[in-house]
Amino acid sequence: MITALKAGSSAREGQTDSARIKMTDCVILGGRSHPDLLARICRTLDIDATPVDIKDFSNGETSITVKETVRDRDVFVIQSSYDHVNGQLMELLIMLSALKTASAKSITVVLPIFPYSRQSDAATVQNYATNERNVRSRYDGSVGSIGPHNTGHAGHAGNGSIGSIGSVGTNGPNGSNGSNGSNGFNGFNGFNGNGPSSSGTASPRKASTFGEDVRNPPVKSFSKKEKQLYNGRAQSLLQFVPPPFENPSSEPLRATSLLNPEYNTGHRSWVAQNGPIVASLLATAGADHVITMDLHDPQFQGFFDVPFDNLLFRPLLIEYIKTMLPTYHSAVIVSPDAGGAKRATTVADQLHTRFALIHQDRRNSATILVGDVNDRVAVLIDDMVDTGATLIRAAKLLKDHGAVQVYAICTHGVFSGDTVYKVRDSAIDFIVTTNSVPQDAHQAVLGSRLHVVDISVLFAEAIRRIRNGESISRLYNCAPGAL
Amino acid sequence: MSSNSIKLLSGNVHKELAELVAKNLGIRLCKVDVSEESNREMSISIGESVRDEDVYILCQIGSGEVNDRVMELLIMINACKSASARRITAVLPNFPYARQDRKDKSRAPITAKLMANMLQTAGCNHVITMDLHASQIQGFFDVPVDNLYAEPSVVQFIKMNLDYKNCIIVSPDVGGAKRAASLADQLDLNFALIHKERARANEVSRMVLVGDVSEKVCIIVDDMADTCGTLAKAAETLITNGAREVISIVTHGILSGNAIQNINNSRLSYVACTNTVPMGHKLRQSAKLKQLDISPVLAEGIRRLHNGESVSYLFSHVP
Repeated sequence: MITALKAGSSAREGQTDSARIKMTDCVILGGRSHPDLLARICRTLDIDATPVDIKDFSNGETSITVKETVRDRDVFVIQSSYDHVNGQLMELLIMLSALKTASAKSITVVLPIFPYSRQSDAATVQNYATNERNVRSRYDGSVGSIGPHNTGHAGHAGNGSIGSIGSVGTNGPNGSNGSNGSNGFNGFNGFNGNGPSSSGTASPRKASTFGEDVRNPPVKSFSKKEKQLYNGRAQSLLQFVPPPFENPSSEPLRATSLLNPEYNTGHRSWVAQNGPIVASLLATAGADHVITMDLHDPQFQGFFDVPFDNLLFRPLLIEYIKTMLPTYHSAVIVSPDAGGAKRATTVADQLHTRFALIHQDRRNSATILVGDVNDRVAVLIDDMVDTGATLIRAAKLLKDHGAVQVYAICTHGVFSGDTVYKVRDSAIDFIVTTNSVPQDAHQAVLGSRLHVVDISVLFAEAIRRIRNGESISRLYNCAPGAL
Repeated sequence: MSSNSIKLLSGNVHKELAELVAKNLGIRLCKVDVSEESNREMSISIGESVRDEDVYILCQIGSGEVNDRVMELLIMINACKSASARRITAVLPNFPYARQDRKDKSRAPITAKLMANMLQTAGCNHVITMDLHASQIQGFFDVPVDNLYAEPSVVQFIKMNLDYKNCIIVSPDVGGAKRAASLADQLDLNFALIHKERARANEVSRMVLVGDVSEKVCIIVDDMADTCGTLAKAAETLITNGAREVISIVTHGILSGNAIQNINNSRLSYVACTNTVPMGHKLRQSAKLKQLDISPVLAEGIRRLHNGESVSYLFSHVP
């Protein structure tokens, strides 16, 4: 099931001996999220995982007991997060606290995928924009949104079930919001050309601003100009939406505030920044060191006061492409959005291949391919497939532009909800991901179209190196098997 | 615009109590927008300015979703902190993980302490809670904790709803003897005690009654009712010992697992719980459930804290 790298296995045997000698007084354990990865890491390091008794009380509280002594040991805790992130994070925090109370010498947290890593970094958004974020709210739209704004967004009043998010154009008002899942960058996406009255105004604007957008791809938040454009449009579409705060004494605001007395303060919603709080909680619970892989925002490292190692999937990914795609010299590496351009170009540079980029125009739902993929194999590179909307749309676009085959390589294959079925029915020929999240269920649906790269080797090697005080930076350039 | 006024915030899931408290305070709930990503990560935005305000975040925790509510609360506290609130008070009527307050086994976590640490890390400056399972949990915090009591409300409830002169207060276990004795003192009644031998968590083996309950209306008081197995067994024991009627009053009606079934099948006339824990549809599932509103106590606690008045009045009086 797992596609192990052939090059990796033979070299790994040699390491096991040294690992056996040196890893004896370290303890590895894990939560309930990913027992398979834990077992693989332990097998590579040739030690047994310490048993932990984890259960839920009937009221939903989590109870944890570590079954063997950890006194004065170096402890490594492995916990993935997908599916039910809050439960898995709390389980981890309680486990850390148990270990700390039980006199562990040091606690290293190994997070194959970092929880809450894709949150918006815009501290404030206009109130109406926050509503756009809520399409996938678990609660009914009337609960998950703020006040009277809801009335204008007919499409959001219903529960934003995951199933309703699909390819652009075929859907109702919520269509393009699906891209938020894999972009994760901002909540403004949902506004793109999907309201019932928006299509008329969309095309001329697209023509006039397209060139500018390619030069300055909107990565994480709107530029001021875009915001103004956006605000102006919103104003025309939804009469009750207040204008931005810049000019509090202007006529439109007073007119609006007559309609909506609640919204006359011009206050923008304050969006919680979840990165810093997750970092502080891990440190509070007792983490002395954190290891993760392919962090969505490398800036997260700055939120920690404890040592932090962000491992890279890239060396394994390059090995994979070289092994599994012998014709890679003629392939094109494609970034599915502007935000991932850097990630994709690094891979393209290392493989000396061509590069293309897909750009989503925010003012309408058009996706534009920059670069040529005609008669070539296209390899999409992204860090996460969650709702998959971005990738599915990108794959369709690439096929439309004459790509022979579309590979999608994503470090973290979360596949929330029914994403896995949508990927199955999409134009993606092969999807490659890692076992940072359990892939068995996804494999059952996607069969041979899903290739899973085993990253336990990478984490095992990182654990061994941290335990022995060796450098980690070798792992940034070299696949662990090739060391 | 005046600053440092009370801003009351609540998550989206259980708003009932927060709305009652807001009504008691004569204010509106602050707009908070909680949305969930497809992997159940939460995204929270606060729809009003809290800069330089006295922020109270009320978090009502139902059964089966403790971890989600805790994360929601922590993120909300942190959002208020980063939005420059003057003071942030977490109002936790039912303190989560209060029962994991000691290292009862080797290498077991003291999760209540972890909660305390995490609340403070998130940026909480003050905590208001009610009927803590063990009042020592207050000592886990480096910030002030006001532990309010439901007892005055319970006394009022008994006086209004029962011919209490013919009642007897019963503690369902030895640990609750002090609570029962205190209530019995308030009402000038006798009290009895049930001693149980616990086999495993949430399971009850054998019960021994200490005291005379014949021909009396027994009021079983406890701080928490979870699966209600203990309550049902206790009621059985009391009826066997000649009690005329058995009712129960608990502060935190968590009512998880088979609780509703246990109550419906028991000899209890009814179980009255305060609304520290959201009851929701459970009230409709059992005719034997009653709800006791403690929102005036929380509201008065918040008002007094905000104005810097003494809170201890609330320990013995219903506002």
